[in-house]
Amino acid sequence: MIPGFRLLLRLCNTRRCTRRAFLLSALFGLTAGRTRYSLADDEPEPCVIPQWLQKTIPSQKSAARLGLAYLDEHPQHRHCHRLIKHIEQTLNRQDAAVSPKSDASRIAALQQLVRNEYLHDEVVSVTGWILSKTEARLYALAAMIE
Amino acid sequence: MFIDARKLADQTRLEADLAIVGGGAAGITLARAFAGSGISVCVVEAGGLEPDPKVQSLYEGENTGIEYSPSYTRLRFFGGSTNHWGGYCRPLDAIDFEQRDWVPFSGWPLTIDELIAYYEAATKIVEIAPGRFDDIDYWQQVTGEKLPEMATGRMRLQFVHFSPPTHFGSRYRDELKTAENIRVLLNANVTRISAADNARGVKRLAIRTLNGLRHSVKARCYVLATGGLENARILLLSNNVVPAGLGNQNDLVGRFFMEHPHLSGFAEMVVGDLKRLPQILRQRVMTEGRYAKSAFNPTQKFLRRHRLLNATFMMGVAGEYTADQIPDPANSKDSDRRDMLMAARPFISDDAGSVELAGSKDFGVWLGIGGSCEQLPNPDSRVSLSSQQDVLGLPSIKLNWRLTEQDRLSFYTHLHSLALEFGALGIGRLRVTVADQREWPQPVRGGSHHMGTTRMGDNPLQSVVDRNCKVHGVDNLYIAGSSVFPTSGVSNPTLTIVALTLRLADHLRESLR
Repeated sequence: MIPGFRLLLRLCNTRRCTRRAFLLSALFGLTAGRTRYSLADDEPEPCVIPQWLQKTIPSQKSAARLGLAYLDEHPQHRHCHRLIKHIEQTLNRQDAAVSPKSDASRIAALQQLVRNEYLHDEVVSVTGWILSKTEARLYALAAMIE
Repeated sequence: MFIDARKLADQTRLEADLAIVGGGAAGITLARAFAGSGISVCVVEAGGLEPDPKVQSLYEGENTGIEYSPSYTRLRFFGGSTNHWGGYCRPLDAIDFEQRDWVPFSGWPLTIDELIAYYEAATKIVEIAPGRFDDIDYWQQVTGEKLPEMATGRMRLQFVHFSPPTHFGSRYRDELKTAENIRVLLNANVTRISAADNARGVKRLAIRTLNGLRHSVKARCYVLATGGLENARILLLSNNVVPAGLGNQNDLVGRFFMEHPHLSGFAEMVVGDLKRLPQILRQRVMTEGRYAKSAFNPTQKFLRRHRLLNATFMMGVAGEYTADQIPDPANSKDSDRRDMLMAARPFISDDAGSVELAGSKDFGVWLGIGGSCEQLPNPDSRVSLSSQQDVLGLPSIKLNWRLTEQDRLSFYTHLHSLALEFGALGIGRLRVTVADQREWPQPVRGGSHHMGTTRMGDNPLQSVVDRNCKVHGVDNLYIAGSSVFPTSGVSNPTLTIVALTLRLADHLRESLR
């Protein structure tokens, strides 16, 4: 079974699968990142990474290697949905990210957020690399997608 | 005039107004300051004009602290350790002179303002370009590149000037040779500074040569300028009147030995776009015929707020990464750097966002980082006399270099600051490759900077020399060199040694008038 189709089935199996929901899921499946596996046992449903956020992961494999190292140290973050929510909430707290409309403006806001975290010493060490917390969580997300 | 002490008649007695023991940066600078002055000068140098293993062996000694070679870190021939120095020149920072309540035993009896004119004169002697140590505008103009404005408030850009490097022995040899009032006595080992019976003054220098001759030099005034290890040793050996050694009535001679702890391979950095890292931040840049480079140093405000010691970091490109390279799977560090560069690309490169790496040939470099830090003045870090003897039958040096947790914490904190700065500026990512094990990682090494063993201060109970570098309680004995530094700062010491020596020369001119 091809992974994409399996994902759609899993996605649909987690909720009442109306025709509308299935089509929406299929649409997301075509445009968004897909979860290879949920790292958390209690993850309620597969994770879909917003497309704009995916654009900040130019090399999934490289980011994933860092992300796995981060998750080893921070197992509490093995929740894809929570991580995405956390990143978005952190972004929204930042003035520059007020109601960003385009992907480009969202990415710019994320870049600013990451810089600000370095500025304010909101960082973690991942195998010795000093990384902004949001940046490290982004890499953790990369570890959770195919 | 140069005189080989080995060829003089035995028991020769030389006389001069000023006797300078040691022909290194301090000794030669001091002698030059009196060239043509009408004051007769005798420089007593233990070595010859060229290195000699037998002479050099007199610098060997016992080591009981952190691994350190008392012999390899200094040179015993005319020109002294300038014969192998790297040429790094920067004045100390203003804060280095201050009494800081979080740095025990800190505080110089003078401020940087009293040294500024001497620093300026010293730049000519060490042959660097006019000192632009903090002038960012100047370097932006010279390089044509805008330098990043530090973002975190933790770090600042300062600049190091490089001497060619000037080897004082060869550079100033002819000048001393032709000066009518200066004699340089070569191959003359001072074995004792003979004190007067009341220990209030020096009577003469006792000298021995390796071919078995004994001479003496009598002067109105004596300056000990043999470096931070040997200055202490000679004072301790000079115990004919004061059993503990001349100037050592308060058991301070040899204590407070300081180095600039250096670590190698402790950190590295990756940078996605070299345009974000101007040239002077990563390599030496030529100006006015001399090289200079920027250093990343902590701001004084940050040092005060967090009660830290000083530190400095420099970096240089160590390797490049291109998209068409095939990673070496056996080189995990290489793979790690590539991963970091690729993962962080949206944050450290102008082609962020929807990055297509395939279209980008070069996608980053990695840089090695060099760094050193100030060491806390520590009375237990010391030079003393060994039970071992040198070929002249004199006790060798015993070195016990010790570092503290406060030193280490400062170093790691500043390294962390550097990582934050480069992240905040969107330049790159820093990796600390030496884990914080709550102890100094090994090997920690020094920079061949020997400081603090005859520290300067107004209080004779806490220092060996006064603000004029005169040994407390001894009327005609002075000390030149980094052994008088009460604190080490983080700048390489040669420029400050020369500046302090010029200041001492001014003082001696008055004293000898």
